[in-house]
Amino acid sequence: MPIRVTLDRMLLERRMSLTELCDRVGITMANLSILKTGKAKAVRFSTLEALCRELNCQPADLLFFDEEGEEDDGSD
Amino acid sequence: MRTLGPGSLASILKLLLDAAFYILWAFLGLASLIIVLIVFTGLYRIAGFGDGLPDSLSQFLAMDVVLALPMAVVAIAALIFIIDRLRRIFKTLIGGDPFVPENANNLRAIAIGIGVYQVLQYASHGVISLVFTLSGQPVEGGGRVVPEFSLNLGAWFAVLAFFVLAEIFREGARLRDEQKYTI
Repeated sequence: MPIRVTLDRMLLERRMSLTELCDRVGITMANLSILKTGKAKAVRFSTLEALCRELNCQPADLLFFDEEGEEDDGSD
Repeated sequence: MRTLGPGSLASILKLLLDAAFYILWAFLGLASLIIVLIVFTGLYRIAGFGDGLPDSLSQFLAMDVVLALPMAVVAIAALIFIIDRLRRIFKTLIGGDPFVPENANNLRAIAIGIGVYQVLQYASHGVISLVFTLSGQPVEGGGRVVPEFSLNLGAWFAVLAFFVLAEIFREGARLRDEQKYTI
């Protein structure tokens, strides 16, 4: 998918672990891993809101459009 | 009525599909065996070994039903293919996850299977008509036997319905996948 989630970079900048973010945001580790590894198909506004609040950032800081990225054909 | 588990409609359908599957395999085996027998008796006659075949066997092999066997074998194979795909769909239903892209492919394969089965029927009708034309129409009870042709629109509607269902399943599987990966 050409939309990339830059959760890795945000966590690194804030020296926060994924487990800690899970606890603070209230999302399971499995779901946050899906988001982090770029397997997610969609993000709810409520999830984005919680992430932005805990990471003290804007939605645009978490998402990145990569024109060279692989197109999602909906088959996977 | 329960959807799954003992006594449910799904379990009854599964039982029927399993029974039909194994019965068709038995028929296929038997029909193939008779075809092999016909081929060997043909070779036996051509080669001219021995005193010839027993009369009862020669009479049995000359029956009209036996002549239609190669067509029946192909038709049974097509039915086995269709039932096998239906069993695969049921397997996913019993597993609790029927909305998968594989089932869209299975439904599409069933539609193609029914279509091929129908085309084979038309082809067999054509072959029988040709045989009748070349060898003369058989006479039964004072009347000539004419092979009946039927377009069977119901089967073609079933093909159409299965194609539509396949696309619905494909979209359903996509939406389910999207829902699963919505965080």
